[in-house]
Amino acid sequence: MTPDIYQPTTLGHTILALAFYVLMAGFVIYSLVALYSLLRFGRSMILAIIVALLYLIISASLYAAAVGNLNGIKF
Amino acid sequence: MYWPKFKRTIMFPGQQADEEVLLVVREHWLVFLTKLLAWLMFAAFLMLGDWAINVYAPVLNTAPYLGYVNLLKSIYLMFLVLGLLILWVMYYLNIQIVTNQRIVDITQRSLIHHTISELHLSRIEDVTAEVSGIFGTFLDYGNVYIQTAGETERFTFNKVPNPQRIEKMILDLYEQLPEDLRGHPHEKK
Repeated sequence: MTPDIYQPTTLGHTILALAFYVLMAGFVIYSLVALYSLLRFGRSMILAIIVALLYLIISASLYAAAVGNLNGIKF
Repeated sequence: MYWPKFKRTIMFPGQQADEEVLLVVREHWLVFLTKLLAWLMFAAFLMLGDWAINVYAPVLNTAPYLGYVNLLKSIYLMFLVLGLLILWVMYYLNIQIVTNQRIVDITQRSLIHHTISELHLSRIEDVTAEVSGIFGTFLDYGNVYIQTAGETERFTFNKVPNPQRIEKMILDLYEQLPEDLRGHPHEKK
């Protein structure tokens, strides 16, 4: 009988999490470049800051939902 | 009594101290709306997907698969929001500026490709306004072409509102130049 070894995650979940975080890295990089362009080249700093904050709030909420969905997957 | 002087707004890099910005124009709102409609189509795929799952594959709404579907929808929605931001940023950062000295075309070709072209009023040879199509005619937007005296490409204001007024404005500015400067760029007398 094999000993009961503690495994925090399954291989499937690890691969899924890896793919998810790679996608999120791409998302973050694109978002930062877009926000940088807006803040750097936009004529109205106030408008740029408002749009950037709004975007950050929305994307943070969506990210939280996505992480919740990822953790909700059971293998 | 002391009145604080407000700092003069710099509209674009390289703006001279005595340079007065007369017009800042970007593409007509309908151009953005068209892109927004394309974006909405992608947003509709999300709802279409929900409908398709309910009708054709209701099994995907049950326990083992629901998590994957929800995860995919969340990721899709995030990139959808990112797409909307990029659309708006690209629309917002593409502007044309007319000052009392020159015409500046600020083009954002991609998020990391920013171009600023400028044309001194004295180099203008010909200005043409072009309105075409049903929407262009009814909503009064079109292209303005500015032919330069030289081998450089002509300046184009793409799908800007009130092209005829912009054309007249540029020609008026050209005519206000001292006569010895017109059509003789770089020749200071």
